[in-house]
Amino acid sequence: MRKVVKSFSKILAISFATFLSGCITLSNYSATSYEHLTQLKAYHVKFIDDFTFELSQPIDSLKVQVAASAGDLKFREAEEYADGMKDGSRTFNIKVLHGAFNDDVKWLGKGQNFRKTYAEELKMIRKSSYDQAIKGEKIRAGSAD
Amino acid sequence: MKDINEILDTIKDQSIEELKSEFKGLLKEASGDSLDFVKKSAASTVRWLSLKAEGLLTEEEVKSLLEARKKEALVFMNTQSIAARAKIQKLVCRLLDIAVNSLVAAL
Repeated sequence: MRKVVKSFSKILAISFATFLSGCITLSNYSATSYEHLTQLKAYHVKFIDDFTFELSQPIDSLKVQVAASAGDLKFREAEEYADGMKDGSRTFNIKVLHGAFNDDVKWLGKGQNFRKTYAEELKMIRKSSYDQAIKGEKIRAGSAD
Repeated sequence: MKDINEILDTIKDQSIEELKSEFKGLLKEASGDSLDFVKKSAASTVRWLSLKAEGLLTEEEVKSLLEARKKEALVFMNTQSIAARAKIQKLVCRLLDIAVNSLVAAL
């Protein structure tokens, strides 16, 4: 009888551990991650604004390089922080947003600016992408919202 | 803004007839979907194709916007249930793929 109880306890412990490991895939709300996302959003949208003109015109490639490098550093800091929290879903979002920023840098790298109509549409998507990630942060346990 | 049927009718390339009708079907389904993201993606795809047809956006700009929406879909899917992810892949990703790979260049 004692053996049966012991085995049952073992099974229960293993099941509980499995259940727990299944649940701990999302970390709690992080005010720092939230701040990273809002700052990155503001920086990215301003980056687009700074290189938007009514029509096509040559752009200052040095200015692009400086702004792109500053943005890249901000993304790397956010990625490092997210990596440290061991939460794949948060890291994934930052990496996708970083990729989106790089796409816009590459666009300017071709020597073309953002034309106004294009920039308005692009900004809408970029803002919405950050909003999705911010929403993902705010629905985590521990958020005040 | 031009109607999507009017825009698609300007494409005379017979080799993409099937894709055009698949696109119309996906658009109809996505426009009536319960998820706002799916509806919004359908509406913006039509708007960009219309702006391209009117000469207000270039082919490269529309392709870039469609790719940008795909990246947004990745972030959105990351916060959704498996059922919602599957729906977004089936509707939104396919819709964007047809537009970016076939329709934009043909317009």
